[in-house]
Amino acid sequence: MPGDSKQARFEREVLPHLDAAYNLARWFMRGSGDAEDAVQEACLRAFQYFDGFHGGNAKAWLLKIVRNCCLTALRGRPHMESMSADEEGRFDPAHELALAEAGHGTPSAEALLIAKAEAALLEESLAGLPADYREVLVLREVEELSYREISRIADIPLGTVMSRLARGRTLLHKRLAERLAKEG
Amino acid sequence: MECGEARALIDPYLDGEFALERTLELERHLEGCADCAALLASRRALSAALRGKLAYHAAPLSLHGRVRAAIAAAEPSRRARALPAPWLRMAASFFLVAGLSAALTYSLVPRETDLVPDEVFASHVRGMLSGTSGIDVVSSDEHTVKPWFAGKLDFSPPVVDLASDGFPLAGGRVDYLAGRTVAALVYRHKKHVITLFVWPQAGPARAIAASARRGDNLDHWSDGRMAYWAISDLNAEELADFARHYAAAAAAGETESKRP
Repeated sequence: MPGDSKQARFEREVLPHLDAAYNLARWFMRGSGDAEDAVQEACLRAFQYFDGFHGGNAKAWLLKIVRNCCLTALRGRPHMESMSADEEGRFDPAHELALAEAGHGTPSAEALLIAKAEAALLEESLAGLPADYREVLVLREVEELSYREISRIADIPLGTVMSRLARGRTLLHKRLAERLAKEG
Repeated sequence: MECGEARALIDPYLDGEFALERTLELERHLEGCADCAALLASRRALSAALRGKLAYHAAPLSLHGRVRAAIAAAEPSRRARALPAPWLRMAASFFLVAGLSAALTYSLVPRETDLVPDEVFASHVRGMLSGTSGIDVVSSDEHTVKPWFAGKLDFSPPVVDLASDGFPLAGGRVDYLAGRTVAALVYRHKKHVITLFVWPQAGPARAIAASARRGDNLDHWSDGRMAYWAISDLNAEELADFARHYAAAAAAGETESKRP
């Protein structure tokens, strides 16, 4: 385009993903005020590095910067929540099987139960997952990104994306099933 | 295929990230194994629940303003970056206001066709910043909004509620744009606001044409009597959807009102 400034290109290519950036930051920061600060900082950084961005997936690129800004902000907090996926164990198919079958009715009945889960319960259960799992689940189910994009944003190998998704879903499923069973 | 292996492959299968040759192998296993099939079903239910029910937190308008202002402030001078955060924010709001006033000042320059989209953008943002989404007559009832305009404008904009199409009418205001008073109709879609500017403009009808300004999408069209500009932070497809529904309903309304 004639007279296309850096700012104009940035607004056209990157800023349409501001909603995704904010949504992701909210899941990281667990409080919208901090999320706004993180997104603003991320956009400023993105703008500064925009000359080095040669096309490609602007959304994944911005979300990666958002993620880094959120992590920087979280490191400054006195009580940082656990980011680690390790504490709940590594992915193990046999364990998945046991978890999926552990003490709550037949799986098909469970599918029906999950379908009845209210938004607030889903949000609460997802928020309660360790951050590593929550992150890949939000990127996959909310932003609908591919494994490759998630791998780039979260800076983990493809195999880890796959195992964290599987494990995260199983954990989320378990939490939901427990809560739903309690509510009767 | 063993159950253990099948279970490790169910997620990539569900996510459409699975090699084709192994898909058939997995599907054969799923046909014969009720447990694995049930796991896939509950995974599907979970995925559908997350996608369908989880609230999507769109960036608040204030954040759009902050980000754009911060970028505008970062562009001309690197020094702004060295200021402490509260100063940066103050400077940022100053640049936003300065930017809007500049847009308004430039609107007095005669090359108006080029500048209309900028004016539409500035007016939309002004409305959004007003705290009431720029609505002076709050009503979802076209029979309230239309007479309200009658006392304030020398023309009658087509006012149609599009709630059944997912775009409920929220109200309207009178604005000043392109050197004249215009009608601004405010619609909502999910959490988003659409402002539709309407004013008389005789000439050939124009089909809906899309453009963008600073992250907002615009659709412009004309029916030979009126010019229409719709602007929103909705994505281009949804805004075009709105434009088509409005244009169709407005055209239908006209034929109706011409009947005796």
